[in-house]
Formats: sequence, structure tokens, C-alpha cells
Amino acid sequence: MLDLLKSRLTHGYQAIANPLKADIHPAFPGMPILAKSADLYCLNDICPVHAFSEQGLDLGKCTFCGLCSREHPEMISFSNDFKIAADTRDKLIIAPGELELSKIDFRLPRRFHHSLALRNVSAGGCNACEMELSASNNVNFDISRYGVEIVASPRHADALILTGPITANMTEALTETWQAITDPKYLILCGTCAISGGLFAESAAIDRAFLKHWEACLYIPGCPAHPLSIIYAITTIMGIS
Amino acid sequence: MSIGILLLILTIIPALWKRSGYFVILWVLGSAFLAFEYMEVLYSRSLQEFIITMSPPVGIVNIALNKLSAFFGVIFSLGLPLGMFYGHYYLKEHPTKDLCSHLFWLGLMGISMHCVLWIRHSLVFLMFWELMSLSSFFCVLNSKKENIQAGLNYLITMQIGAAFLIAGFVLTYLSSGTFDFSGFEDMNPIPMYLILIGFAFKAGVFPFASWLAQAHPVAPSHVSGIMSSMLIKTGFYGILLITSLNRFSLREIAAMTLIFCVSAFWAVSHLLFERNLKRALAFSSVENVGIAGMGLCAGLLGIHAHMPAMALLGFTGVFLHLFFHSIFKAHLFYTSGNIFLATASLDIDEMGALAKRMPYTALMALAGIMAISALPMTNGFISEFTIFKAVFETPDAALITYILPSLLILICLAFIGALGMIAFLRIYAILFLGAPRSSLSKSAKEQKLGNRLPVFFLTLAILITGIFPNIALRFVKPLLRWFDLDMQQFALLQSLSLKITYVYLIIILLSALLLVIRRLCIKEKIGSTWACAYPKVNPRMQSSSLTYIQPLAYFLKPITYKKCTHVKAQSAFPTNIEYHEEHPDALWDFIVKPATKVITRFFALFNRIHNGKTNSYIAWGLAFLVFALIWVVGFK
Amino acid sequence: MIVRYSKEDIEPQKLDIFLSDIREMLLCGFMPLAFFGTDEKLLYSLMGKNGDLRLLCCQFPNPFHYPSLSVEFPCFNTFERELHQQYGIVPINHPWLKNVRHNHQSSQEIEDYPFLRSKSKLIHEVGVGPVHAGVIEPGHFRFLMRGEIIEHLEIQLGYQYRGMSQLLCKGNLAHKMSLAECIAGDTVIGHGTAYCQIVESLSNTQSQAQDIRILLLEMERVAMHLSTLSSLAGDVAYIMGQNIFAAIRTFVINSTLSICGSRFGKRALCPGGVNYGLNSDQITRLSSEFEKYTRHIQNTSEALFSTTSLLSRFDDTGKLHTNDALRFGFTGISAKASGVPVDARTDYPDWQYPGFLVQTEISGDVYARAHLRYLEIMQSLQIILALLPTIKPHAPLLEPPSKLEPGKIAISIIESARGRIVHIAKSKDEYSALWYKVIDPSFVNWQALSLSVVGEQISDFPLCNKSFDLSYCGSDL
Repeated sequence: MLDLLKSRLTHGYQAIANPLKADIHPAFPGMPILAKSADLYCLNDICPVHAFSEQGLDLGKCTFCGLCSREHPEMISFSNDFKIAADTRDKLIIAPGELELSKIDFRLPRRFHHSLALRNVSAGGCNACEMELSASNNVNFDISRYGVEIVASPRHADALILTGPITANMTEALTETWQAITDPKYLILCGTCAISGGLFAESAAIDRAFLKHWEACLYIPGCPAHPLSIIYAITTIMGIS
Repeated sequence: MSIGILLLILTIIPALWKRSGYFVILWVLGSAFLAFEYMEVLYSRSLQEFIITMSPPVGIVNIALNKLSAFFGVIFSLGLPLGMFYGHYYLKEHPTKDLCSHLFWLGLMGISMHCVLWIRHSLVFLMFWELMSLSSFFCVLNSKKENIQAGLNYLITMQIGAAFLIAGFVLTYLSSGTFDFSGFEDMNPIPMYLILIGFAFKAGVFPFASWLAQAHPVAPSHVSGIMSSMLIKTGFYGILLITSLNRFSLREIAAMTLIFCVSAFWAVSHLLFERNLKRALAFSSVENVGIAGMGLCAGLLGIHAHMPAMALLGFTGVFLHLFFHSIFKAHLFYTSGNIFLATASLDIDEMGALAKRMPYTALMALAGIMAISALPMTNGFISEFTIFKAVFETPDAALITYILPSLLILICLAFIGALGMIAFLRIYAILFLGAPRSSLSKSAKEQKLGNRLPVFFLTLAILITGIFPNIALRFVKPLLRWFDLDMQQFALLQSLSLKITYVYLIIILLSALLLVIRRLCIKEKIGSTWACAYPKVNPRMQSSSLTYIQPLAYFLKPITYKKCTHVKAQSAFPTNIEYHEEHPDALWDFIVKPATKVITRFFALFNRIHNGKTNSYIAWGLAFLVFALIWVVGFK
Repeated sequence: MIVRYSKEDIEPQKLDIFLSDIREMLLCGFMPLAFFGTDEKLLYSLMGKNGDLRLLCCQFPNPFHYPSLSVEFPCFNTFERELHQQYGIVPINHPWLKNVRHNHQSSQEIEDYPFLRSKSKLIHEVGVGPVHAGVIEPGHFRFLMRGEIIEHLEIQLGYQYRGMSQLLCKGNLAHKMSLAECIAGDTVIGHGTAYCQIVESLSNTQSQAQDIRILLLEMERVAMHLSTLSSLAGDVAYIMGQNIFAAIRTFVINSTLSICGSRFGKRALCPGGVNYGLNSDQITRLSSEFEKYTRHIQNTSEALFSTTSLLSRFDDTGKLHTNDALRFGFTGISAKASGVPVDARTDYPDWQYPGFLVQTEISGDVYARAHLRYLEIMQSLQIILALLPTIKPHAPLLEPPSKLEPGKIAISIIESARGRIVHIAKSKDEYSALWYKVIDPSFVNWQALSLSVVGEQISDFPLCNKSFDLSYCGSDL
């Protein structure tokens, strides 16, 4: 008992006061800033997932590996802005010179503004996004202070948060889970693999047909998505500023 | 009465011609007349009395009805025709080998059950008692070999019980000088105990109750239903008869309490693990007789301690429980009969998902299961509640000698009630819910209307007497007055029942309202059960009968006797895993079977006499004659 | 450890000599680190014992079967199942010949999968997954239950199969750093280092930043063990332990983030060195932080391991016998907690850990695995604190590897938090690999979970599962 008290007292208070205004170490690769003069073709050659195109950098494909910024720091650099999320796939494409992503316009209906139940389906991810998702529930980040909880049964869920590129072996399980959630339901894609397939997009073992039928309402890029990004994204669609 | 009895005797004619339809119609008519007679006796002051004089030693035979007989008579006259009706439809689907003899013995059993209630003369009573046992034995008999064994066990047990009765009656005659039942007033202890034990055999009280679990599963369902709901009550009728004519000492009451409590507990500990549906119901009958006995003991304690409330509530509890048990036990046995007809099996581990295939049966069975678990809105709740209330009436200032038995009743009733509920929940869940565990239950279909109609009437009876308990209380009232109990307390009980009725009605109304609102406002979408998104769920992926009970079994280990065979995983790559367990009757295995063996071996010693040769028989006969001559001439 | 073979060193032998050599080595105490087939129609077997590595090779048997090694030596059983699934070679008399990574697309295959069944009506099955109640990776567990007691557990994986081996062989091998980091996202440094060492070996370059790699590896070990301890405490409702360990883990992985920008160590490594170095400020800061963490972890662990309610859940639950751990060739915590001192840091060392001794526990139950994790955390923290002052502050080192030498086989062995990681690859030409074999410790260790839960209550299953902390994606690839 005394051990417990000693441990608790020395540990101190760990919760981040306001996750929406927190600071991350500058080394964290958040929002990439493309210089206006950036040679997108050159950068695309270096990029392992070829995330660059004429429009700019597709954050949905970017794995934040930093190869481009280390080779050509003059063309691209990553700030430590963790507020990267979008409600449509197009908004994730960053044009040269853009300093932040377009605002998220989508808002959940009023009844979800103080209570959102998420059901996670891990569809072939490397486990990093899953660990970050459960970390957003821990004593530091504590997403549940906003009324968001991760539930065990899809029958209790309001939204399905997908991590992983959707392997062919998981398609049926994913579809069943989605069908088991009662209306109204929403789809959230967490992590680069979920949004675009990431490094596995060309693998024969991946089957992303599910996303052709169902549209997501929220895209959270990152490899893995940082808990602060997850919290920012979800609280934004819940209407919490 | 004479018309009724005449009609019942006439039923033998269609029986012999295998016309079970007319048989049933005559039974219904005859029972209607009888019921009318019984009700008249119950509610009015008239006493039907006949006196038949026969030659000695039988002497004057008194045939009369008192309120106690009338009470049981009403139960019999309502329950028997229902049983016959169900039997008619049951036998159509599952015919016995010889219909005419089966119907004959069935009719005879019913007639003898009624006659037993009127006879006030020990010897004639015994005659009809034996006739009842014999005819029920023939009804139970089926053609299969194991069933003959079970039937014979039943007959022999009944004969042993009758032996106790004979001994008791003879001793009473010797001490009182008359065969009439009036000789049972203020009996000596020994004959009283013998008679009580004799009746206990019939009623199903530990340790004489093993025959129930053997006879009921093998008998056809209508016979099981009649036996469990009414035949057993004749035994209890006998016990109540002795109770009405005697005063018990405190020690005797305490002993009775202990016996009934142990009996109910023993029954429940078997019921929890039972896989055969009818055997489970048989054990439940023993449990309920135990509960009725607990009520009786509470009533007797009340009389002995001059606590009128306890006395009244205890006796009300007994009578109500006997009446209600007849209703819901018959209901459950007929339901099990329907399930047997649909699935050709009584093993609950082969059933599952019957609710989808037999929706009416499932719904009505729910009422029956709730009644036997003593859940509110059913009549089982009312009777157990009354017995609880009786025990709660033990005043604080009472002596420890009164508190201990009532405490025992309280603890046992609570515990047994909970265990009973667990047991029947397990049975209901395995039978009706989930997925079909075998092809037998997969192909089950709802039974015909004729099979379902008796169950429906009994369900109505359960619900009506459960929601409006005052109806049943009015039925019991004259009997309580006849026992000289405090009717003021009864009035209090009636007003409480009225309040209970109001509460139920409010709940029913609110629920109906909510259902209507839900129907109107909520759009339902039916999807498949969530199974962690595994696409091919098979019927093995649901609880078996062991799953429900295994955690509880851990705590009941000291008092359970089980035989199990367990093939464990032999290595990291097992090829076969098996587990089978059985809960045989420890009493039967450890006392009756060895005793039978000893007795058989003793009689085997006389095999040399019974060697089948006529010559040696003549020789033995001659030797006996010589010996008798010497005895008579020599010593007289 | 890195080992390199040229084509000439490895001559394909005849099947019977191959099998008898393996048997001889097994009887001498060697254990199989890998056993697989490749598209060259060759069968490879990597046997190792205390730093002595032998790579054997033989042609595919013709006809397509051979007497199974698993009958005598169960440590081969998972490898042989994979061989059968990938190439159709039948190991005769294999006791459990089923697909290792089941194809969950074909509904006929799902229905036909030969789960062990029981004829008894009293034994029922419980199927859990693929979608589990918590935020964890998918897998299917089929239990045979006697009431509430587990008689048998069969684990069916394959839901996470992403085709990792094929992806690693497609294109330039030196550019697969991100992919290698994603083999198992919580073992980024483990698999990342193994991959870097493979590329370095095949291109004959020397890594310049071994010390930083070891630092990151030990930090990852601490973070992983803290995460497991946190979830174990959470499973038995010891919320204090759950939250404190999770918070300390956040500190540790934030330290990792301060080095390379990723909480899991992604972006840190590259073939040839590391992308991010440490300056003296960082080193000083890290030293003081880790000293603080050491005290915190010690306090909380003392409280945790003296709580009787927790000990009553952990003690004697999910016992894995030493005999089984030895026979089945388990590695990592799963084996060390049952008394088998197998650790690649001593068996196949590539870095001198001063005064390093393999720690073990004997009882093999959940308590042993939890307590051993605590001991390893303390040991790793000591290693980190001893290592930090010796790291020369230097800028990121990037010596990109030149072309690969074709036809060479490289083997790299790393001890991650879960156990021994083995990467083997053969170079095809100057740029790409002919085949790349990844063996995560979970591949073999899943069997340990099946063995340990027999006879336990099913309600203790999540506890046993978390105590092993195995990777689904590492096993599925």
C-alpha cells in the first residue's frame, strides 16, 4: 500500500492539459511545407511511395519517412504541426507553398458532439497505428475526456475507425463489422495505410474494394498517426474547437 | 357423484374398443360431474356419505368426502381429463404397443385415484391404493427392455411403500379396534411413523424418491404428467390426512422439516446436472414436494407455537403449492412430450433453436419455466412467497426451538429456489435458444393443435392464478377454515394478493404501452448475430449443458456424485479430446443396488429348493406335512 | 550477428544427407533458426548453437515429400507447415499439417479448415476473432471447452498477410527501409536493424553507427516491455500500474521521438548507418531522463509485484513447461521465463554488452513473464545509461550502400523485445534480392500460447495472451 502511494506521488500529474494546443518536439514530422520552387519530379523519384504529383504532395500516400527532406531540405521540410487531417481525399493533397491543410468542414450530427463510440478494425496494419490509437486513450492524451470511447462491440459503435491497408483476408471481416454497426454510422480512416494502402498499395495480398463502396468522412494521415493528430481530427468533426 | 363415477367406469368400454376419442369425451363428462360434486362439498356444509356394510373382518365401510378430499378431488377432476386429452393426441403420434390395454389401465388409474379420496376404511383404502400402483405401473410400461426394468423398479418400490402402510394400518387396528380412519386420531408414534413413511414413498420424499427419476423418463408423456401432477399428490393427501387428525410434537416437526429440506436439496443437486429432460422434471417434482413439505412444517410450527399467522400462511402455502405444482408440472411434462414428438429425443444436448421452429411451444414453455422457478406473474411465485411469508412471521421473542426449524426452512427455500431457477434457465436456454445442436432439433416442427391445446389451457391457468392470486385463495379458503386456522390472517393475505394483482396489472399495462410505442416509433432491422466477424459459425460454438453448470458444480462438488470419462490432450498435437459425465443416483448405487445384491444372494441360497423338479417339490411338501403333523399332534 | 556466405560456400546436398546432418546437429544441441524453401527450388536450414551458425541446403525432394522432422523434433513443426503451404512439399507424418497463414478469402476453405473437433456433446467450442474486443490485430482462436476450462486451443492466423516477402524482393533492395520498418510496427528498430545489416552485408559496407542502433534497440525493448506490463496490469484491473507504466512508456517513446521524430523509431535507421545522430545536449538530457525513468519504474514495479490480488491472478496461470520451451524452440521472454536462457545478445552477439548476463525465471507462468520483463527493463536501462556517455556526439551518418554483390547470402540475427529475429536474403543481381526470408520470433512462439492455456479458465486467456505479447503481423508478414 505504501509502495503504491510512493509510486503515485513520485509519478505526478501526467495528463496533457489541452491536447489541441499541445507542443510536440520539433523533430516530429508533421505538416510538410513544399517550397514553391520545389522540383516535384525529382522528389517523386526519391519517394518510396511516389507520393508527389503535379498537384503537389499527397499526404494520404506519404509515409513521413523524411527521405525527401533529408536529401533536398531546400525543397521540402516537415514542421511539427500535428494538425493534419481532412474530410475528403482531395484536401490531403498539399500544393507547393501551402502552409496548412484546408479546413475540415464536415461535422457530425449534434447528438455525437459529446459522445462518440468508435469501433476499431485492424485490417492488416503493422500495429503501430493500433498502438497509437490505444495510446490516445491513455493517461497522457485521454481522448475520453471529450466523450470518445473505443467500444468492444460494433453494435455499440457510432463509427468505424479503420487502420491498416485492408488485406484480402480481412475484407469479409471488415464488411461484416461495418454491417453490424447500426445506422447512422461513419467511417474514419486512420493512418496512411488505411487512406491509400501506403507501402502495401501494390501488393497482391491487399484488396481495397470496401472503400469503393463506402466513403470515409475523416482521413487522418501519419505513419503512424500521432495520438494528437487523432484527437485533433476527431474533436474537430465533433465540433469541439 | 354416482353419475360421475358411473361415466368414468363406462370409459372402459371405448377403451377396450380402442376408441380413445370417446374415451376422452366420457372422461371429460364424468370429471365435470365429479368436479361439480367436489366443489359443492368444498363450499357448502353438505357431506356426502355412504355406508356399505360388508362381512367381517372388513366390517362397515365408510365412504365419505371431507374438505381435504374435495380439494384434491377438484385438482384430479380438472387435471385428469386434460391428461387424457393430451394422451389421445400424443398416442396418435407415438402409439403404444397395445392401445386398448393402455387405455384400460389409464382409466383404472384415474378411477382408483378418485376412489382413494373417498374411502375411509383402511383395508378398502389399501385395495384402491394397490390398484392405483398397479394400474400406473402398467401405464408406465413400454415395450423396450430398459423401460420394463424401470417399471418394475417402480412397482417394487410402491409395494415396499404399501408394506409400510399395511404395517401401520394393522398396528392401528390392533390399538384402536377399528379399520375406520377415525382410528387415526391421536395415534401412537410407531404406527404413525410407519404410515407416514408409506405415504412418503408415494409422495416422493428423500430417501424414498429414487423411483420418480426412473419411472418418469420411460413413461409416455401423458402418463408422466398425470403421475407427477396428481399421483404424487395422493401420497401428500395421506400425509395431510394424518396431520389433520394428530398433533405433532416439536421434535417430530423438526424431524419432518429436516427430511423435507434434505429431500428438496437432494433433488435440486441432481436437477442441476441432468441431461434427460423428463428426468430433470421428475427431480423437480421431488423438489417441489419438498417445498410443499416445508410449508406444511411451517404451518405445524405455527400451530405448535400458537402463532396464528405462521400457521395460516404455512398451510396456505402447502395447499397453494400442491395445486399450482399440479398445473405447472403437467404443463412442463406435456411440453416435454411435444418436444419429444418433434425431435425424437429427450437429451437436451441434442436440442437448440427450438424457439424458431416451435414458437408457440417456446412461448408457453416460458410461462411454465417461470412458474417452476417461482418468478413473478406466475403462480409458482405466489405459493413460494406465501411459504416465505410464513417463515418471516416467526416473532423475535420466539424460542430457539422454534427459530431453528424456521431458519432451516428459510435458508433451504432460498437456496433451493435459486438453484432451481438456475437449473430451469439452463434447460430453457439449451432447448429453445442458440443454434440446433443436432439434426434432430434442426428438423423439429411445431406440433398439432391438439397437442398444444392442453398446454395452452395450463399456461392460461398459470398466468391467471399468478396474476389474480385471489382466485386460488378463494379455492383454498374452505380448507383452511376446516383446519381451524386464523381467518383474520387470511383476510390480510387476500388484501395483500389484491395489491399484488394491481402491481402486476400496472406492469402489464406499462409494458404493453411500451411495446406499442416501440412498434410505432422504431424501425427494426434484423442482422446476423455478432460473432467477432468469423464467417462460418458452426452450432458447436455455443454452450453445452455442461457450460452452464460447470462453474457452479465446483462449489457443489462435496455433495455431487459423478462418474466421468475424460480423454485429455495427450500432446501438443492432440488427435482426440473427449469428456463425458454422468450423475447417477448415489442412493441407488450405494444403498439399493448392494442391498438388492445381498438379498438376491440370500435368496439364491434357496435355489436348491427351487430347482424346478416336481419330485423335489413333492418331497418338500411331504416333509412339511410330516413336520406340521408332529407340531400339531406333538405339542398341542 | 551478421554472417555472409557466397554461393560457393553453400552447396546443395542430397536430401537424405541434408536430413541426417540436421538430425546430428539437433542431437548435438543445435536449434533451427530457420527452415524454408525458395523459388530456386532449394530447401535451406539455418542451424545455430551459441554463435556457431551453419546453413545447410538441398534440392527440393522429388517426389514432393520427405519424412517429417517434426515427429522427433517439434521445433520444426511451424516451419514445415509453412513449407508445405508455400511449395506443396509434404512432410510425411507431420502431426499437425495445416496452413500456417490461412487464406480467409475462399469460403470453402474457411468451412473446410480442419479444426480439431470433439465428438463429445459436453465439449463445446468457443471461437474468438478475427475482430477482437480491443484495439489489437486480427486472428482467430478456436477453443475446445469443458465447461469453463480450456481443453485445447487452436490459433488460426493469416489475416494480416500483406505479401511482405514478395514486396521486399521487388525493386531495389537498398530502398526498402520503410517497408522493413513496417514488418512489425512495434519492432521497428529490431526488424530495421536486421534489414540494414542484410543490405550492408550484401553490399559489403560497414555500418558506422552501431552504438546508436544499440541505444535505439534497447530503448525499444524498454518501451515494448512497459507496454506489455501496462496491459497486463490493466487486465487484472490494477489501474494504477496500467496508467503509470503507460505514462512512463510515453516518456521513453518521446525520447525516441526526440532523436528521430517518430515514437516508434521509424526514420531513424538506414542501410549504412543512421539518419539522426546525437549531440552532447541530447546525450546529457537522455541520461538524466533515463535515470528518472529507472526510479519510477522501480517504484511502480515494487508496488505491482507486492500486490497480492495481482499475484493471485498471475501466479500459476498459463504455465509453459521448460521441457516444452526447449523442445519447441521458443525464443525471447516466452522461453526465458520458463528457464531456457536463449538470447541472441549472448548467443549471436554483434555488440559487446559489458557484463551482460541472460536473465531467466523458472516458473514459466504469467508472473514469470511479467517479472522477467521488469528485470529486462532494468537491465536495458542499465545498458542505456552505460552506453550514453560512450556515444560520440556526431552528425547523422549516411553512407549509402553501393551496389549489392550478386549471388551472396546474408544472415542477420537481432534480439528484439519479443525474441530472436532472423533475416536471411540472397542477392539476385546488383540491386535486388532473389529471396528475402523474415522470421519474426512470434512465428514459432504462437505455439507457446496454445500449450500454456490448456487446463486454464477461459477468463484467464486474455491474461495469458498478453503475457506472451506476440505479433500477429510479424507472424503473418
